[in-house]
Amino acid sequence: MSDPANITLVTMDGTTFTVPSAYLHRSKLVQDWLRSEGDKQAMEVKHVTPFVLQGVLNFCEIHAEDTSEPLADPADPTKPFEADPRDDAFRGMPDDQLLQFTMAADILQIPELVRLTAQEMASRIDGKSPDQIRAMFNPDDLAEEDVDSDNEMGEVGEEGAISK
Amino acid sequence: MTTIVLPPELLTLIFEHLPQSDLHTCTKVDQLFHATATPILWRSPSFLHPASLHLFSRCLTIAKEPRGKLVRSLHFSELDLNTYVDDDFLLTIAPHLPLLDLLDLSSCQSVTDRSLIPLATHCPALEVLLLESSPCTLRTLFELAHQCPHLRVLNLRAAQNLPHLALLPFTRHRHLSSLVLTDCRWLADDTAQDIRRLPRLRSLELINCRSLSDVFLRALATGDLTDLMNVYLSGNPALTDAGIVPFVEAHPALHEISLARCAITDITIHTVAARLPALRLLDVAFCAVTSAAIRTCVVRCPDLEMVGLTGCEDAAAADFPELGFEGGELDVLWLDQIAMIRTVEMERLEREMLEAEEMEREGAGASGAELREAEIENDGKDNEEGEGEEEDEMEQED
Repeated sequence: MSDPANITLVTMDGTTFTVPSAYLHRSKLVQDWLRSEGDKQAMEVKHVTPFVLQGVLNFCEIHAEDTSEPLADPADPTKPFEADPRDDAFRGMPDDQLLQFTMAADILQIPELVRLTAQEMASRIDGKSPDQIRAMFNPDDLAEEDVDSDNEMGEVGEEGAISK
Repeated sequence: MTTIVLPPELLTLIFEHLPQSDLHTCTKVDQLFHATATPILWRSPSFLHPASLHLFSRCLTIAKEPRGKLVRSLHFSELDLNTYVDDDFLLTIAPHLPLLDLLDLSSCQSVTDRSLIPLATHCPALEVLLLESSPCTLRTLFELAHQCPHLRVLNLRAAQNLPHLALLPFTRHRHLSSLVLTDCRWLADDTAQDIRRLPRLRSLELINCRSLSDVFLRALATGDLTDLMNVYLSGNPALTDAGIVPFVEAHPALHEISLARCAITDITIHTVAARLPALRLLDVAFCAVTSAAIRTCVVRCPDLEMVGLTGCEDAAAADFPELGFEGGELDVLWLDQIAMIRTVEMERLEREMLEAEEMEREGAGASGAELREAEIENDGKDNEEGEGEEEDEMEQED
């Protein structure tokens, strides 16, 4: 039986983390697991490395006391994103790490962290060329896609960029 | 370096934060980016320059792969744009937009029945249509009512070419829930006969219609508008208690009602207090209502968040001493102030009730037992103390 006050998470390589359950109240995955299989020893978190899980848990710890209403949908347009200085660790992070955090936030279903990482990723895309974006996401991949049909619409987008 | 391929749903979440120009860049990155960014790029295109309108219509009409089905909302009301959006433009794009659900044509005065009538047929998924200052006529409304069954929001503010029967085609429309007829001068008493047969109506805006009368409101009151929550009637000086009281009595679910510059008195406010327990917003600016009536309303409507009292001579700052204003006119009472007034009022009412009870008991106590007299004495004492505190508070506030 696991201690109801604490929860133990196991990453893909078997590293375990035991943290207060309250830290993870915004993770839908953990909440579902506690409800259905809370009597088991530890929860496996597949596809997440110890380094990333540690970072996610740090985020959860920082925000454990937050009283803001839980975010139902990370893309909710009625709840504008506001940068929080406590999350600056994510701003200095290399691109590939940030992507791993985005994935982990999605796996653990923490909408607040999904939104934070997605917003940070978007701000890094902002103003870049297709080549630069390709380098960010995937250094050694894929030929240029034939996107003729959208070039016209692209001009609409570029018009926008000019008049901004 | 680890190679990471984000799933499309995560890419979508990232792209939601990108402006249009970056989205376009993303369509050129690779196949996954292209497939993910394209629907977002087309969902709600923004036009920052009139020339983009022309490009947009060319994209829709001559592109290899049709993208029109991705377009969900279009806003043409911005200044600079509205003068370029005309019948020919709308006729060109509408056939390519079968899933469009929001169209803002406010102030597009060159868009007439000639394009709006076919629009209704081409865009049957329309849910929100904004036609402020549109020159459209009854023929457009007839087509919309019959071709667009999902229409929820219709804004006809200051659309002056409509007859008083304009809403007849919409009677029994299954989804129309928000109707804006502000600044419309064509409304007549019998227009109410059509409005009252809009079964899903939740919000009705009739500000500054001038021609509205008590007869109109009484006719609305006989309808079956069970969902009606928000009603805005400000700027209709011909409306009096005689029309508004029966209307309020017929719609107990109202959350918001604005009556600024209507010829109402405390009679309306007392009806509101007694009949609208769910009220959140009340605007009675420039009305001849008194602070006493407003106080009653504050007590009886526990959800009240805002009371507009601009220019109410008998409900000025001096009439609400608990708020500690210097005097002069009140503008708006917000949630905190409403709560303060409610506390003071509740205390006062409680005190009055105790006093009334005391008097009653004194009357009965003459023949009562000693024990009971002792009780009364205690009550009286408590009560006096309560009053004392109250006076202290008042002094502090002064």
